[in-house]
Amino acid sequence: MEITIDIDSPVPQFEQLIDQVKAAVTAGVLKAGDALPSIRQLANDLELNSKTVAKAYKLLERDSVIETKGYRGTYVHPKAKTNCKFNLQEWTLRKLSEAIAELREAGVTDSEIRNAFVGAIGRQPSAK
Amino acid sequence: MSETYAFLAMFAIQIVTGSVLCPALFIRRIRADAASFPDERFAELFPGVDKNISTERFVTRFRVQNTGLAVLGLLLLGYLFIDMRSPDRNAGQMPVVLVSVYLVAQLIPLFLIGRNGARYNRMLKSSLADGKRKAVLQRRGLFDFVSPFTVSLAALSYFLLFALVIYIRQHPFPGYGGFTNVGIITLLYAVSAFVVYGQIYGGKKGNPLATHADRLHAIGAVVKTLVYTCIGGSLFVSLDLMLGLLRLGKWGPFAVDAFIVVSAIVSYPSILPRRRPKGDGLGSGGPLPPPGTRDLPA
Repeated sequence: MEITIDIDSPVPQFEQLIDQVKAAVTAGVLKAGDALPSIRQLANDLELNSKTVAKAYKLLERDSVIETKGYRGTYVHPKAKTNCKFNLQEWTLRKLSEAIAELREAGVTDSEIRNAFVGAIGRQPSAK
Repeated sequence: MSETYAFLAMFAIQIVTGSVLCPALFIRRIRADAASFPDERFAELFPGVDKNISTERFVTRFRVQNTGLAVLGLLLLGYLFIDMRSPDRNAGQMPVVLVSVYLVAQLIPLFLIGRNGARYNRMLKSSLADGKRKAVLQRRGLFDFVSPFTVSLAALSYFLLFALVIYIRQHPFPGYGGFTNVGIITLLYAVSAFVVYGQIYGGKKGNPLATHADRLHAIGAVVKTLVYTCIGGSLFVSLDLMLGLLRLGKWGPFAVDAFIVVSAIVSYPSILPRRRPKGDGLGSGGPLPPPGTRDLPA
């Protein structure tokens, strides 16, 4: 399966990579358990910085589209096809909306919610 | 005296393989590459230049260089024939040095081709800069290019050489190098491993017009040549040590030349143009992972 990265496109390169991997999984070109190239190999083939490919792989792994198995390499996740359909941003928005609605019902004002949100994020250990 | 004739015969084979057969294969490769190059692209890059004429000119120049080297080799063969036949003459390491220097001379036309090719690819790359970069989402591994058996054989030959060196240390002969032999072979293995790793996982695509299959063919040829050279190197050093142990040191020059010829023949697949395949020859296989443990919440 061939992927193309347009370096002149306004879409970030790691996003192009993520989109194409997800499209391949959705189309059934990449199947569960298929081996993916190493970060170094793909970065060299695409003449990209390896950090760009590493970022794309990290986000794909977060979305459970791929999984890394140590020295054995990176594979397509067994439930990749289902997970590709999952929209993390939408899910986050929905969860937050539910929480905000509950707080409003309890009489909390928007500025209090905002301050509490900033405070809650500050208390959490920083995300990777 | 038979070792002298064997050496001279092997040197004659070296001349034929290095300056006749190898250039003939290279010319086939050059013609195949030129034929597959799009005419309109050539016209863009070199306006007013005829592709066929420039290819033939290049081929003729390459052929002249190699014919000159073949003539030089025959003169050297004649000199060695006269010099080594005299019974009171102890040539020592002189034939080995001459053969090695001649081998370096035989490699000069190929080096020039490589240099020109790299320059040409750079020019082609800059002319093709359209901002699009392509790659095939397929993992490459060592065993996609050489069989596990061949790699095991390379490892086994190294350890057998090590064992032989330890054995000969108990029965040393004059001129025995000891662990220096192992050191040289270790260096050969290390450099080969480094190059193989770079070829498989790193390295930029040289020719921007090369397809994925072309690239796999090129990587495969280099990897195979290096693995076979490692096996050949271990065998050659072992053979050289055995000749010393058996007081057959006079066969040393023949062994060196035989190694050079065998190495040249082994590297022929890397010169040959790629046959148009039905597929890439690589599978996307690999072990199936166990079922995932993490599901995103709905």
